[in-house]
Amino acid sequence: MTDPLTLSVTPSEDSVDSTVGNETVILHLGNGTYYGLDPIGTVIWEGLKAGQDLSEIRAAIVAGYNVSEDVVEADMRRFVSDLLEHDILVAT
Amino acid sequence: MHKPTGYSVRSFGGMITSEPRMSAYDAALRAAITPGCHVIDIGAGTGIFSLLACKYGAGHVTAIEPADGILLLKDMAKANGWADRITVFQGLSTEHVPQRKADVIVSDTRGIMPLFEHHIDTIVDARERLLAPGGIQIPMRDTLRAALVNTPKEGAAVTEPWLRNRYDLDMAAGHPYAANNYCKVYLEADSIVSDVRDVAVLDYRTITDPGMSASLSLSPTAEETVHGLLIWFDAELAEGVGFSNAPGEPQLVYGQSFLPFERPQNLAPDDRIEIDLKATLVDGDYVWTWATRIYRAHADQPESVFRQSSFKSHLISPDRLARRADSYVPSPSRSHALDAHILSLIDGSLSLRQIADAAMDKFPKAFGDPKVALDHVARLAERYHERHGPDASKGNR
Repeated sequence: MTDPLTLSVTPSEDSVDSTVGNETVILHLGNGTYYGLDPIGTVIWEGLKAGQDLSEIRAAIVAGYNVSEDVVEADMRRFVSDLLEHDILVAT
Repeated sequence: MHKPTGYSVRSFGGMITSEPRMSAYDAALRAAITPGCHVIDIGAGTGIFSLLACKYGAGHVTAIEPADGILLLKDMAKANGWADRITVFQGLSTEHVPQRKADVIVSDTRGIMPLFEHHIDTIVDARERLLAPGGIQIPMRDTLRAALVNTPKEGAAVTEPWLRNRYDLDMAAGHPYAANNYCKVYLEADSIVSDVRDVAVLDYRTITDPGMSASLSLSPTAEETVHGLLIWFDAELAEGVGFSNAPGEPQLVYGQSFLPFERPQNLAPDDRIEIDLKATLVDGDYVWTWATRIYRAHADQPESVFRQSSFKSHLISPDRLARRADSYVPSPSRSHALDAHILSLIDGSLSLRQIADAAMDKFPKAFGDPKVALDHVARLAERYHERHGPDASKGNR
């Protein structure tokens, strides 16, 4: 199975978001499902919206938060898999 | 007893006096009705279309309306001598199981615009289940149209007080919500500053998908400050019979939809704006998205891009949202136990008062007094009341 962190991913055209403070709610217009992002998820999401790749985002989180690279990678892997599964992200 | 919700009789009256809407419906009904035919009136309100159908010779009319305003129709049918020709069904058309299909279906369940809540689904269901082969639908077709508009008042509602205010406060956090808030307006014809484009044709005789998407390319006709996109509709109730709520036309019960740009745009005639517009029905309400690209002169690449959505106008608490996730495990609460007990007592033999008393015995601290308990039980019983019995609930919503 492909490691999600090796993929090039981007927000789906069907995903619209609303950010409150440092948390984000995403609605997938295609299937009508809502998805909530915590502050770190919001950082990843905003990075992807800005066109950054996952390695850039990972480096920014490791540098900006007091978290080990292993933990960030595991969290990002879970995050990307989940959003791909819900069609909120698409692999390009 | 808590207050009923929905339209007031006054607002139903406003629909009947809304011109030229009402004259157009009158003309379409007059043309469609044949002696003895069966008419179904969906979203009947107080029943004006049902009464007109009888006046023009319908043999039988089924008036369908969930609001209590329909109760007036019984009196008015009697007053006009048509009590035996009008049947009232208080509920949703999607719940109605007809004994006989209709030769004519008349409806107006549009809101501000034809893309409103379950309007399209209602018409599709009615066409497929309630209309006889070859039957007539009123309305026949709506066409959405759009143009760029200059409207300083609506533009200011996007930027003030969020980006500018007399108190010199930083209130910019509110701007994204205001900038994504599409709203009902009534603009005059001189607000339009571009050509008019067709957005979509909603042909109710064939439509199946409640969603809509369109791509528009628009340029101002002169140097202008553009505040956003305006959408309205032209209705065709029957061939040659219709009305419009375009700017400059008489103000109707509907409205025009204003989709603001994030910021006003100063444009020249050789600039252009490309907009990908989409309306998606989600959970019973339309989410509008509009992705805007602004090109200067004959540039190949856009100078700026905005991706806006009515979804972004809502403040949604992530905590509250998390409680709707499919993986969320709700915890039992006192309120849950109370309502579960009350519902268990609704067995067809106990009165509301008896159920309220039993609930107070088991949960003595739940209510301040017996009246509060009675109101709570009545609301709960009303929520689960089957108005037409189990066999009637065959609709799609």
